[in-house]
Amino acid sequence: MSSLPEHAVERGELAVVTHALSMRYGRETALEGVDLRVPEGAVYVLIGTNGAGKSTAMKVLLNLVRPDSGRAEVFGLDTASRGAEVRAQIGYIPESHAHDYAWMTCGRLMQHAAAHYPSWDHAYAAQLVEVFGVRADRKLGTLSKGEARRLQFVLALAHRPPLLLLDEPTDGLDPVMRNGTLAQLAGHLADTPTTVIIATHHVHEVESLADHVGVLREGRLAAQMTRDDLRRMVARYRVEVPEGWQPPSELRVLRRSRTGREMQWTLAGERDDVTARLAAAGATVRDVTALSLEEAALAFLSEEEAA
Amino acid sequence: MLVNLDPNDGRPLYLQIMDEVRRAIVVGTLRAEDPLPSVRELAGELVVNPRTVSQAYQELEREGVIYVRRGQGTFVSAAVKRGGGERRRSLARAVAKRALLEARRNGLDAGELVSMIQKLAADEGDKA
Amino acid sequence: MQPSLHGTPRGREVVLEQVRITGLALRREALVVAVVLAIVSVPIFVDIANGTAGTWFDSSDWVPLGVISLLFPFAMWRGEKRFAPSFFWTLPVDRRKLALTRVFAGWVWLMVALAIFFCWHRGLALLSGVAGAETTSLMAFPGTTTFYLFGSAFVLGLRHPLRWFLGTFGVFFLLASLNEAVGRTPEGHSRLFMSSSFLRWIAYGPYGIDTLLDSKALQSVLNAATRGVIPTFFWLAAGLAVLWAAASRHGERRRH
Repeated sequence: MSSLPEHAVERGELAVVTHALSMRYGRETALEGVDLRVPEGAVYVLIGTNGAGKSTAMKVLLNLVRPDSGRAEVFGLDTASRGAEVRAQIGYIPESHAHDYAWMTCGRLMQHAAAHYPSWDHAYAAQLVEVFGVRADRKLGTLSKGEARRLQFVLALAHRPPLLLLDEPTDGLDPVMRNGTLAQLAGHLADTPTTVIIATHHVHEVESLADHVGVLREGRLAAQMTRDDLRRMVARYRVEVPEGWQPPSELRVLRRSRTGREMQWTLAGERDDVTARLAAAGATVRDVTALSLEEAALAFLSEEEAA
Repeated sequence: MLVNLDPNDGRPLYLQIMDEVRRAIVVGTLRAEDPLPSVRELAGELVVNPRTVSQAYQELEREGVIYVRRGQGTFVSAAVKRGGGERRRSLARAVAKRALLEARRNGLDAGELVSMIQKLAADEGDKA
Repeated sequence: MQPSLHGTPRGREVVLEQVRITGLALRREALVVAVVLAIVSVPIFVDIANGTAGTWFDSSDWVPLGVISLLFPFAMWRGEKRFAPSFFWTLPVDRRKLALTRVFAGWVWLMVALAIFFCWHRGLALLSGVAGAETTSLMAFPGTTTFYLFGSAFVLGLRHPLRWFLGTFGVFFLLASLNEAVGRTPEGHSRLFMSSSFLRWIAYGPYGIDTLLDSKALQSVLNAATRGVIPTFFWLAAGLAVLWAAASRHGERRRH
């Protein structure tokens, strides 16, 4: 079963491409040779620990920061030379909730944004205000974190951008609002052809939306694949092994634990292939369990360094 | 709710949605010519990618379970009968498969599982 | 499924919106200035009634206007994170163009404020029987503009404009103290600046600081060939050049 985005990759229909992006803040490495490939129409979840470079990658795409080396393209537009055009395609929710214009009302800010996006859909904006419960007369300086986030959602969606960059989008939302917001996002995707990149460390919240996954670990892209490939390629194997057994060295071991003679391994690779290799090495595979997106991502994040 | 997804189910979401629609037809929640929720509605309700819902609907359409009426939405096919023998069998097969998997994970074989199910069913029958 | 790409906003739209938003942001400052003018008006009106108001308009010293114009950008950009990836920079407009648009928007309001101030000043002067033309000069418009451009360049081009500003001010203050210590020539020129031809040129040359600060602009207009219009526009051009350099720090191809 090949999913639609796979074809898109083959045909080169990529919404976002980066070539060997590297970026340092002083001694901190934010990005190290990152090659993102985000097909058009994908919901791409960028997973990583805090400071793994997720936010920096988004800022590079907006041309808000310039990488030390490498370059990025959004819908074929070079971010460095055509920043304004690139930003016109993007709805962005930054990590921070705070807004610089504390004196401004929510309504005025929306009017301000509308003036800068020719594609602003006024009727849709009014509908979003209703759905997200944004009160137009409230001053930005008085908004709670959740209210600020909801306003940011309205601002990001109302011009129906071809690309959404959502940096920890559910941060600050209460559980009820979180679900409502993600449902609204799902509905939006049904109406508007959109590519979405979601940076988050709350993976389970967006698990059902994701169809592509990228795992950033200390600025490096540890894995990047479709959700279905990830499901197929990363699994937990319960194996029973004879005394003194050594694993085949060609297997990519992400995680291991042991209970008595039984071992639990999280391995990367085609399932049939891995099972065959384990069997050939003398281990009995008891069962193979698919991992949730979060478990799989965590496995990559805690992968043992290759010797 | 028409469709319930199990976050711990390892199968792709579109397969789960297909199964849930089939289940709804078998148990009679959905009957011939009943409308299905739109892709947008179901995607919003389940908080899943609309593409996943589309994929499930397309597969179901290909199987003849549902059909699309242009501009009106998606409906359950007239040919589908509640509790049709073959559909019941395929549903039973799916349930059995999951049970078997769980049994193996716990070190039980098929025989042990089947005899225990029969015993439990018999006990419940006594109570009724 | 190539999505049709969205366009960038038209320049006119952006300019109008930036003018509107800057005006809104400065409402409080405008109110303060209006209140101050109203309070100052009271004793002037009292003197006008007594026929002794002429003294109010003897001094044609516009230096405060210059200082206000220099500080105006600080108020305007207050709260805006100029050197961070803030909301302002996420707007789909070329960053240097956006920065310059905001500066233009502020300038529009500064000119409006100055025009109102002039009307107030000239109106009161006429009421008190002093010839208005003596006290107000249209040269104040390019003059304040120059100060505003330099102030804007400070705020846009420097991460810590206030420190730079206070530092520069400190150096000026030191120089001024030194100047006073050295004393003045009978013509009222500083001995310090007259001591070398270069310093004299800096201070009193046709393109000198004195021309920039020149208050007797009316004479300058009449005497345009030597001092006045050309030097004024020289400083104006210099202000524009510095502003351009400052705004270029925010260009799309620059690292923030």
